[in-house]
Amino acid sequence: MKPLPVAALGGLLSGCARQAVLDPASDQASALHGLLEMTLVVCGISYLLVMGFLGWALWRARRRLAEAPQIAPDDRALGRGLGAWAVLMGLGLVFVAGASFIVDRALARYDQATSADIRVTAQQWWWRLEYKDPASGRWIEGANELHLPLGRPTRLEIRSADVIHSFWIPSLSGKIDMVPGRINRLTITPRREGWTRGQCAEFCGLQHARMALDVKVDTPTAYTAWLVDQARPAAAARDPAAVKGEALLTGGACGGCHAVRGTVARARAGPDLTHLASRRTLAAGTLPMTRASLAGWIAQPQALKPGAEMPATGLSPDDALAVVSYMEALR
Amino acid sequence: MRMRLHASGCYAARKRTTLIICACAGVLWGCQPEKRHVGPEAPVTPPTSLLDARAHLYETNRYQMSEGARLFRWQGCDGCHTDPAPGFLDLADTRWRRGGATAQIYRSIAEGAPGMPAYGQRLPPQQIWQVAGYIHDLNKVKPAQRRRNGDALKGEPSDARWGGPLP
Repeated sequence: MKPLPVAALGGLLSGCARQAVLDPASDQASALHGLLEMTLVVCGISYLLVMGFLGWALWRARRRLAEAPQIAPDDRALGRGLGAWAVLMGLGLVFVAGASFIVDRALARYDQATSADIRVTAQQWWWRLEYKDPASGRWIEGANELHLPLGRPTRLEIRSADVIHSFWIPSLSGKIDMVPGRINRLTITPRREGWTRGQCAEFCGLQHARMALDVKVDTPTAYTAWLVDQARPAAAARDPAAVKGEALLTGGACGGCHAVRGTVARARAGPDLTHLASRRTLAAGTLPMTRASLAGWIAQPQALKPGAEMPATGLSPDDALAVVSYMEALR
Repeated sequence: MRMRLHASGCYAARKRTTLIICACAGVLWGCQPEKRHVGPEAPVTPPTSLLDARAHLYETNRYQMSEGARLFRWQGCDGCHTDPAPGFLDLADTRWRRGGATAQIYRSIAEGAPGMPAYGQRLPPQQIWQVAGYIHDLNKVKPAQRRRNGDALKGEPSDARWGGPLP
């Protein structure tokens, strides 16, 4: 092979590393990945055998083109060969089905607990995440950025508030449907620290494609520290622009849908903004978390994510920048 | 002879079937999905006059009306404007105290009324347009359908009272 296509292919595959079934980073994903590889081997061997026999038959036929085909119905060798072939295929299928059953049962055993560490609720088109504070038992709300402790089985409660979505973090677990009026359960035991990415995997409306989930696996100590940080209410604004922005955001229209803990804004229709600026992206993976993104998002969200529930705020440029300054301070 | 009769009958039946299929295809060809004005073209400023032509975008568009219905619930409008509501609180009786044009309804929502808060500071213009568009033709939606819509939205999050999706 030429070096250029190989390099291009390598580039493509390494680009997938952030979100890939073939790059498992948890116990559950590894089990599924093992099953995938085993199925590939069994099916691959069958395929190669079929192709080999076909090639052999064609080669033989070319040589004996002049002769009339000779198949004797009572050819015992042919009968035995076909019988052995059927048995081999049957064994392969039983093996694949059996392994699939065993892996499925092993994964299902994880999910029998009725309590949860994290609640994930899908909404058009973002993720509401609630973490149970192990100390107080309170639920701490966040959005669009899932943090998980390394090496610990974390139990997730999977729900939807509007239509059917599907929760899928390819490197960490299989897909699980998020059905309104129903609670599904999923356990993830991450084995690799760092960022990965999830995505809604069931068409759920206009912005299904822009419904991504940032996932961060932390060491248990870092996770606990992060959770303590998330539990505290928003700090009061200090610089004048941010003070003005705080008044506009919490007392104005934003507070009709969003919550900033520690202020009068307590609505829960939209994502919790208490630690908005600590997240990596904005609007469920649509934009990087920058000042420009925040300003664009509150000025004209329908141009950036058409159909999202977030309306244009209609603020004057000065007011909008003040609100952005406050949002940047929400770390 | 019998063979030929059979064949011509079969031909007539096939012709009829073809015609019916063509007619159905023609009818379906005419079907178009409703255009959703979700991009930046939707107005984000309050109405300029009672005859603001942009009202049309919200009065006739099912998507915008359904968003209005959703906000109607999120904002707790259904707390007073119940279904059915007593007297002047009833929004579906086609009698209007402050005008029934969408721009007039917009004004009533934004500026408030005796006993009703002004929503001009609580909702951005786009959402007030949506609610006004929904209320404008509320009488054309059957009560049973309004109830069904309300039930469908029950698990949806709204204000601080929301306790998570059902169950």
